[in-house]
Amino acid sequence: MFYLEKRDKGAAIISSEEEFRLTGKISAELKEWFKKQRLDSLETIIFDCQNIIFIDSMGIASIISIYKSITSSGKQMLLSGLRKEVKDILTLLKLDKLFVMDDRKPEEIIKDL
Amino acid sequence: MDKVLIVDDDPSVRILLKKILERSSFEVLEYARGAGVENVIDSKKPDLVLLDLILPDINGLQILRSLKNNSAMKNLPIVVLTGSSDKENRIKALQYGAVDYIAKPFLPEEVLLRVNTQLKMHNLINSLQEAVSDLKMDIEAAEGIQRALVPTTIPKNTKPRISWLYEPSYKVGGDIFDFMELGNDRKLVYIVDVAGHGVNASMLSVMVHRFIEDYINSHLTFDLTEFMKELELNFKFERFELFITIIALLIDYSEKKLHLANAGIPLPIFQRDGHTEYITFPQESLVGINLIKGEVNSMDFSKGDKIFLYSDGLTELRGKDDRSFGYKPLEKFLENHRSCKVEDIVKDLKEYLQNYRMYEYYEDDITFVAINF
Repeated sequence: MFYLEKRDKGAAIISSEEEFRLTGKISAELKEWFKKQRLDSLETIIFDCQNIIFIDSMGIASIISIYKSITSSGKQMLLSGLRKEVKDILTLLKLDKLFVMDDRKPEEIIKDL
Repeated sequence: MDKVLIVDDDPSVRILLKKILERSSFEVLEYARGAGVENVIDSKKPDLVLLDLILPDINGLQILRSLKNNSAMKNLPIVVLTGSSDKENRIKALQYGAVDYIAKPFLPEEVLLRVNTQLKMHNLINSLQEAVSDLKMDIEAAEGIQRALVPTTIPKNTKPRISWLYEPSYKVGGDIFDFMELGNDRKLVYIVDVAGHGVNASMLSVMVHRFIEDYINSHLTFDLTEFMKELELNFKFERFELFITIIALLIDYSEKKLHLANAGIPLPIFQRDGHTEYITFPQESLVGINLIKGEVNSMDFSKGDKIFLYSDGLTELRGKDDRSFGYKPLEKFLENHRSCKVEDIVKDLKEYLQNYRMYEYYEDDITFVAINF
């Protein structure tokens, strides 16, 4: 369900082809999927969130977990394309202070890296 | 060694099947009649039965029905032996609960394949049932521990009046709450909501509960700001791969003040003189990701005021129309109950939610605490 697509400039995009609710079971799947990804040569990981239509506490925990894993190895992570409802929840919980949220499309972000 | 019982009146069929099965290390039992099959099964405990449908004394289908109605034998796999053209009985046998059939005349390979497959499936189902039953017991034990930690009775003649609704999802969940005396006419009421639900969330919520108890016992001059900072230090996300959210309300009767710290729990609702409104103090972030500063906001309260604390499981509860319960309906519900006692508000809310919810169970934990000063 999730893909990691490597691009130029040491960047990669995490995305999903279908819309999904980032809740319980899918959150656990996302975390497990992410653990299997090889990020050795990467510097920037962009999580394309345009297909997340709803997020609950388990979903937030899975993104925090991925964020902590990426940043602890000196790489950076950005959330792009967040829908308003999802962004509002993250902002309400002050997670805009933890995550970099970028409204641009992943390709545009990579161009400016 | 698996044990197979052959029930067939034809000795040549029994001998042939016995040879095939014994060559593959099965222990084989033989029985030539329909009458008394249940007694043989009861005493010899076979792992699988090969049952001929045409027996001289009792119809094989009748035996099959009777075995499936016997609670001690209903899970025993039964493979029926039928004539090659007997399609009707074959289907009936499968409808009555046979797991497979072998048409006569049969090939040795076919017998072995069908018997082995059914035994494998039977063993798999058994181990799955055992695992589910163990898990159920563990969850029930966890539920017992968690429920033992939350208050069970409404304290009489104490101030403030307090009542609550506590409904963990799938039996155990990540919510926990409590109210505690702090001395000097002060009380602490809190709701903790650990991300997610299930056994790991409930274990962490029990740990938080224990931590808060210990903290209060060892800090006679309880300070809400310091308390929140201490929570942050002790419940780092990296340790549990889960975060916690908490609302902590310190009620100070001597100063008639409420002190509120809120890290990620929905805004509380306040009622005074018939008006219902959200308490829109600035919130903190989640506990455990280095963003808690110990921010506390204060407000006055008077006799008769009410305050309602609740976890997001309430506002996010999905209804039969697939829509979340939401904030507006909650506000409206409380508005309509503004002159009710807190005990009645909780009772009515419980009933309301039971009618509203999409499923028979709650998808997320729900905690709702009503306080009347």
